[in-house]
Amino acid sequence: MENNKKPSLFLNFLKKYCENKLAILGLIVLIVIILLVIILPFFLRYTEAEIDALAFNAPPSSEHLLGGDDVGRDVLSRLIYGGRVSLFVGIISTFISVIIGIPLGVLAAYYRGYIESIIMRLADIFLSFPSIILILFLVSMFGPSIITVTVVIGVLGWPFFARLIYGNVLSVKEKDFVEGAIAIGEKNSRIVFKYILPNAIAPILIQITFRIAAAIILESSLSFLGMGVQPPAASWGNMLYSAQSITILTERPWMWLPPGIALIVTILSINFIGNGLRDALDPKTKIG
Amino acid sequence: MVSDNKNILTVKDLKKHYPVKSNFLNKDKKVVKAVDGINLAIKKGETLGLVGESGCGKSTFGRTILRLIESTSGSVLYNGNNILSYNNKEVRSLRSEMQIIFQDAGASLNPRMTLGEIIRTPLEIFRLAKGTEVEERVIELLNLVGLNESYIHRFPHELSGGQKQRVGIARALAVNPKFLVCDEPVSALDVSVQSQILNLMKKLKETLNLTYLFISHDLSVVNHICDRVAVMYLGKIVEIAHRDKLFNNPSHPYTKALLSAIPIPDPTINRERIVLEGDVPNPTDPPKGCRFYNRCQYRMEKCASIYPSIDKIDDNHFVACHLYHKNG
Repeated sequence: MENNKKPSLFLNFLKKYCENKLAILGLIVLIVIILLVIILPFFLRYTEAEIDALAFNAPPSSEHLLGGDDVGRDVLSRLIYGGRVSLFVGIISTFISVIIGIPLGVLAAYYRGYIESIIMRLADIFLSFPSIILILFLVSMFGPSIITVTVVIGVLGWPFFARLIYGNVLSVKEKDFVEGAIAIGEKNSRIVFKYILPNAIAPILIQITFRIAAAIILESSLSFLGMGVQPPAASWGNMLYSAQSITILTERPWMWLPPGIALIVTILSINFIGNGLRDALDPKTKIG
Repeated sequence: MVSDNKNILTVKDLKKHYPVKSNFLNKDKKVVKAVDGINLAIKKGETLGLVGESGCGKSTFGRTILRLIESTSGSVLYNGNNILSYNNKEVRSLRSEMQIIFQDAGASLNPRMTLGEIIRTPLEIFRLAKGTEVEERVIELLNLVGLNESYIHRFPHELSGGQKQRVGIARALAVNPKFLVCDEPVSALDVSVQSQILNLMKKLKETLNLTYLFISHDLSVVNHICDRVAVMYLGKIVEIAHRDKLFNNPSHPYTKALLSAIPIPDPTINRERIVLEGDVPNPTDPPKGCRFYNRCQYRMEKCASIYPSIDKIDDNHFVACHLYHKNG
């Protein structure tokens, strides 16, 4: 390291991320999935709700590449449209959870005292409810739609992030470099943003990936119970669960295998990305 | 101790008690008396050593006088002003006068900042340099502590222990402080590096007119760098003296025991080692009289009930022990 030029932190990060083959693979696969889900609907012959009477329970053919479902809709179209919904619900609801959870968790850990008691007990209360029942209740109150499902899953997810960041901030706060920052006269806001958060945020990235996966699965469960995305609109969840009977399971795998595989591949790639991010953001993992 | 104008820092009856969490069945509130009534004056330009075993309150004391920990009672006069009554804004401005060097230098540096950023931060907070001056000053500080400017874009984890401590010193010196609390700055380093850092600190003290409170448990290090030495036991100072007096004529039984534990690098010398019996008492429930009562080989009846005041037994030599009280 003889050069005196400032190495860009971002380039450094990118270099480290690229060291991890699985992370690259995950990123590529996820990008492909997102692109497919956005672009393909313009080229598909059928929309998600269109019924072709001839495709009723039909196996894959040149007309319907992945066959037809139990009311004659094209499975490929539903898979692509359903991917849009599932990814939207997963990503946006997690984003909502993060936006609520992180500030609350940081506040609780940094200021302690009664703020801490209120926020963390509230988190405990949220977590003590069986979330699926609470979500069912709330969704039935506001009416099932993609937006309500997303918002409800998002709002109910905040304690996971609040607790994680709370624990991390508590431990980072006791580090000597925070005392060092106080000793050189740093302000509270700068201590939080420059010293504590950068050192406490890495596990959150992993949690985000888990939460996106969990939100996608939650949405599937809701769809199954009739409170999620309503047919004829498609989501991977309601495709999986509408194809749940034993005859379909054993004799018509084209109805449930594609959404199942899509779900697994998506969730795996998201997790690989999370692991790659974690390693790349840790300054202690060396390049090479 | 007579306070005179040359004292940069005067500590009066400083106490820091930590409440011990009591559950609701057990209501009696216990406190850990980490610092329990310390009187001390530090003269401008001197290095005062503060020694004692782990848990005796040395580090708590060092942080309390910097207001990194809020005290329970007492006063700390810095150049005549009681800094314990300062509000937050005043405390922040005080940071440019008083600084701290940490024991674990690695942990005291933000792992996500480069050395340049770390050293630049205090300059920006106190607006000590503008524009290109900032970079120049950072390089100047790095050179001052014996690092060259190629380190400016490195991260703390790329450095050795000694280099990290050099950065810790550079950061502390960035604001041109007058007084530095050195909290065991070399005890985490290996011996060869220790002497380099100690000599650096000695040199800096001369060139920058600094005053040090040097906290340590290593008596040979203290002997090397300090002008005066205070010995602390369980939240109290038991003996304070000029270095030579303390090392040649230790008076408090605890100091004697401490000094007898310094290894001598000569196996042929036979020395009587005072081995203390028992343990340090529980700081939530220290002995009523002398804190050292239960381990002292010279204990007398009154030691159990009366805490000995700290008295002068010689020029620059104060001891808190009944053995040296002439009357009563």
